[in-house]
Amino acid sequence: MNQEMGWMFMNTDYEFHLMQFSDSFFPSGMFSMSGGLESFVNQKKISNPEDVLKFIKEQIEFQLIPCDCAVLSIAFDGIKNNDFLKVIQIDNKYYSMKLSKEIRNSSVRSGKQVFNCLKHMIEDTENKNRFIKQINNKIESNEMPCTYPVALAISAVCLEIPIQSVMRILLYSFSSSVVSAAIRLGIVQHLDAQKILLLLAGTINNIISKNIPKKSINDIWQLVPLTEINQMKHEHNESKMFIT
Amino acid sequence: MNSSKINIPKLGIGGPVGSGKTQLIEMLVPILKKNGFRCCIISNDVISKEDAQRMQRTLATESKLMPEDMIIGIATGGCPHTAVREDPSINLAVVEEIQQKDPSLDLIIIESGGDNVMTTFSPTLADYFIYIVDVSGGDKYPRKGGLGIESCDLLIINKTDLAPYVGADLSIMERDAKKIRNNKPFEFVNCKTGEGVEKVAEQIIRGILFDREPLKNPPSQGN
Repeated sequence: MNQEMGWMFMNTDYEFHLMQFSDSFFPSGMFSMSGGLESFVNQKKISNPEDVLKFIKEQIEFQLIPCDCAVLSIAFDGIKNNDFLKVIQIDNKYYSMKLSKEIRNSSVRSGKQVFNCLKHMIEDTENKNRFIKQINNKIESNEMPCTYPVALAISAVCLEIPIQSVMRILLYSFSSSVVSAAIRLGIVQHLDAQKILLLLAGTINNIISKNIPKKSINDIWQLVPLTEINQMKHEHNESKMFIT
Repeated sequence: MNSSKINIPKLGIGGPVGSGKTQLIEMLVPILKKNGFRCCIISNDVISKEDAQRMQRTLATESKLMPEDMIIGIATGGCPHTAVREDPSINLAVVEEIQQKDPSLDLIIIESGGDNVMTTFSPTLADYFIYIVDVSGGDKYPRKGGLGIESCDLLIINKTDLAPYVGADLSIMERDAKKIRNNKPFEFVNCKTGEGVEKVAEQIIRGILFDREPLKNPPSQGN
């Protein structure tokens, strides 16, 4: 292990950071995204709690696990091993895989804000700060866009949050933002929303409890064509409540 | 370019739906432009980008006071308060992009709807905060206070021409505004005719731009 990175693996008291990052109060702007749900609701293809649950499960299975979580995992390993090239490659790969402009932009906007928040949180920690500055230089020189899963991976490594836990944050944050969008769109009531999250907990925990196979950058995929088409349509809507 | 080192002054304009935020901006931009100040506008909207599109038409396409891509609409996910107050991340991200794109801008104007009780701008997002109400809500409006009316740097009371028609007494609004704001400034305006808007522009140039010269000489047209 690189001696400079030794500070990263001493703390086991990460639960607080885990809660901090999964709290909707955490500044990332995720509240303004519906993950494509708004477009489906406008077309009346999703209209009740069962539909919302099904939509989230499908997005997790065909997008978040094979793509977002895989990117998170690869970036996490890259940062741990001080492999900046891998982090830059995976960040750019993720950016290029998101076909809808508003999804790409919102991922970068959220990612940069998560990274800015991290910088602010640990600015007094000299050795961590040095590491953050290196990443910051890569972002400012436009070598990497700083997408949301990569920013989350950077935060997790800096705050010593294990990979399984940060993956749970990613999946929970996505599910939570879609469910709260469903409430605002008027197709789910607040108690049903909690029930949906409870039902998703089993799916999410089951995924995370399995040994997540190590993937290479070339193994990343996603297959949600209808969602992507709807996200592209959403970009051109005159009237919309959510950024995505 | 290191965007984190650029800090273009940011003006937040909040107010209830229909109070005249967009029209105030449409009146302010030409005055600021006349004084050589170049602006960018971020318009937060709950349900559409209508206000942003309107300003793109009036301030860019028709009057060529600024480039169209310097008027940006943000859909706020149903909660404009959150987007400018407790989690301004998306607005800050757009501000950073603007600062990187054109560091020589003099001012970034951030517009957001919001009621008098809850609306305020995060100090991280706005250096100066204008809250605008109109007389049609009744002359009780300033007296009722709230975060917007009490905490803003400048309170604007718009549509003064409607006062006789809605039974609003401007002297009561003046008395209450002075009292509840502890003599912090307020202005009566009529954004339809432009009456009082020059004074608002003066307050902005003094209060947020500190009477400095524009960063670039005013171009004759567009950018």
